[in-house]
Amino acid sequence: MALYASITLGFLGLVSGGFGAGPIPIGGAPTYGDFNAYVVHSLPTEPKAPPGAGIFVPIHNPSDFPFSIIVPDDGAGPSGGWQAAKANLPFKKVNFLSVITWYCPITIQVPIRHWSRGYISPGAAAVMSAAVTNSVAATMASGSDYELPQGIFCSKFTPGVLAAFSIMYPGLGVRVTL
Amino acid sequence: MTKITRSELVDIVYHFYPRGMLRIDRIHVLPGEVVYDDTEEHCRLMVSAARGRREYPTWKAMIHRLQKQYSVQDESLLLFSGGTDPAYSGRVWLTDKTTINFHVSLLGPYYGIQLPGIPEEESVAREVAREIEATYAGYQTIPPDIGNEVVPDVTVNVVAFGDATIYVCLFSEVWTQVYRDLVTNW
Repeated sequence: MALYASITLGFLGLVSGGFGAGPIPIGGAPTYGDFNAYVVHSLPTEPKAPPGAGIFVPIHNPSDFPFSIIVPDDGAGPSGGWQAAKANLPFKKVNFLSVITWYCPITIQVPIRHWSRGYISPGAAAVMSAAVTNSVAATMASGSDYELPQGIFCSKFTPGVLAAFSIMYPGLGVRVTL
Repeated sequence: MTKITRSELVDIVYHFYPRGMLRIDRIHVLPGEVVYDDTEEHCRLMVSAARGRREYPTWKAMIHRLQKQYSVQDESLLLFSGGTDPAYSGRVWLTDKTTINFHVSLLGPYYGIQLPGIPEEESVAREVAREIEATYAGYQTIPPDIGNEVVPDVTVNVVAFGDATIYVCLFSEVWTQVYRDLVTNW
């Protein structure tokens, strides 16, 4: 981490103190409705950094998420349109005197217009995506996940991103795929 | 209505999701090694998603009919980015913090409606069910005692291996995202 000297200021991914430790539950604290599905209640309004994480240097930038329109917004209904960004997100760890880098492919998909957020520009979607992926990376870095085989790491990271979107930007209908 | 059995649904799940495989990307395995996306099962899921795209106008027309009465959010557009969702999904906002989710599977004649447990839901759920059954003749719901069973040896999109229920396998991980009394920070 010491190798990443430059910090992008004004970047939502920069956090210190406070991400909840442990796995991020999908949609917050689960309870059960008629079909035994998780029902979201009383979500935290602020993401929290892992305890003892200190200053977390973001490793993903909004420019890693080039959103393009898949389905234009037709203006009908409370939400509309669809945009997606494919990314190969880098992760690094220092191993003695060498730096090991690996990549996790991910596709993040967001509506263009949301009934309460209004128009979501590609830039706004990119900022949200970077904020979420950095928060998940911070949580995984605080445990031993960075020691996992790379394919296994990525198979844990991607569900974590989906879960984190549900907490950080609830109700948006974001989808995350490989 | 035919009686739905657990074994029938599990057979469908195994027809579309490979057993015992994690969703590991090709870049993380040796060249030539078979990955999740290469399996016959996943290819069948892709074919179903393609059918979903071809038949999307039927779903869209139903969404538009529901939008005349309710605030309805279509959650099926992922199909058009090449996604392999196993169902069409939609969401009715009952209040600004509470939703009913509804799904029509692309893998078999099944639909699902998820209720958040508030008084306003019943009349809306009845109308959504009526619309689905009129649009997709012969489709039926899956009892919770079967649908909530975990399928222990499959991975569904980004739902971890061994975590997906029959409902998630047939209706996608949107099944896990019902909102009630949502505290938002928007």
